[in-house]
Amino acid sequence: MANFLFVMVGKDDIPLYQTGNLVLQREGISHMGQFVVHSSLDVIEELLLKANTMNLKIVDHYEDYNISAFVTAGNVKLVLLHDLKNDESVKAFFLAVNEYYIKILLNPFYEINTPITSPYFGSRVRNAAKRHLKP
Amino acid sequence: KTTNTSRDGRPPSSPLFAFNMANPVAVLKRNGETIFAKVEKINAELLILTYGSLVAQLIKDYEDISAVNQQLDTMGYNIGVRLIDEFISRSGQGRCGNFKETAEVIAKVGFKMFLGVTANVANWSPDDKEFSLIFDENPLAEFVDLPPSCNALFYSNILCGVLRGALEMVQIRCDVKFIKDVVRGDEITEIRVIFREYLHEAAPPSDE
Repeated sequence: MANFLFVMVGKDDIPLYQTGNLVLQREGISHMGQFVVHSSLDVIEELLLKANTMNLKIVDHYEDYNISAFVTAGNVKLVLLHDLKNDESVKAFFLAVNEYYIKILLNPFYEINTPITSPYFGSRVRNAAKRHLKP
Repeated sequence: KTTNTSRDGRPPSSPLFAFNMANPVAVLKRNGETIFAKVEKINAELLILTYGSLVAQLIKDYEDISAVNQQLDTMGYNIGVRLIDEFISRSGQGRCGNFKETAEVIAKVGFKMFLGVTANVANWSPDDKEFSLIFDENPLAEFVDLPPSCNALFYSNILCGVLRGALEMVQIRCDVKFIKDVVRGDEITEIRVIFREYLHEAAPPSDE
């Protein structure tokens, strides 16, 4: 499995879910990965004004890493910080996560735009990452 | 001569006699499928989402989970007293020979007609006054993930009310309740139906 950091961001930049094995080091700054993902949100929003697809592919770079993004129908941003070259596998991963996210939405007890705590969702996303995000 | 005769005195020499049913289970199953094929259907997700938002709203309004269970049962009761006419007119189902037949009709024809799934009748009590309906799948609870605060909730409790109301309209008073529910983490979904009495005076149903 490649090194990656996957974050789902909802409305008003609320993080809904996060997983990954990538830990970026920066002196004095913990959670650098989240910082990078957050800063890419501006770029994503700009692209959204013009794009008419859900998969935005690579939107930004940071050192050796790429940042790919996918926007769901409800404007939830799936952001992946990774070092893969293969666009297709990232797209496959995003589509799989989108399916799982839709199932979460169909749960009447899930409040939209709140963090996703379901362990099933977590294991499914991690399995999808194992399946698709291979270096 | 046999020492154990069935309750009406006939020798239990064949399954039909033991059941004393007008229609064996296989016939009921077929009936159920035929009727299901003919009735108008709606989109399953529409029903699931509507019922889901109903339950979620009840929880927000009442906050006490046992009150929500009670409310779902009452709503189901009001549905059941009206649903029974629809059931009888669509299925052409005649009078059941005994309570065992009633159980199979509910499981194979009733549920099939309205929810598209059949249940299995099991766990009869020794006096044949109680039985369980066991469901392999519950379409109402398809995507539900119960939060820990709602662990006492019987998500599909409306079904118990529906059964209670429908049976009361055919002069059978029963208690109906959930024993196990997959939504709560049990392995199966099981509803228990307990016969109380036959009603002889047709009292008008109260809507409270």
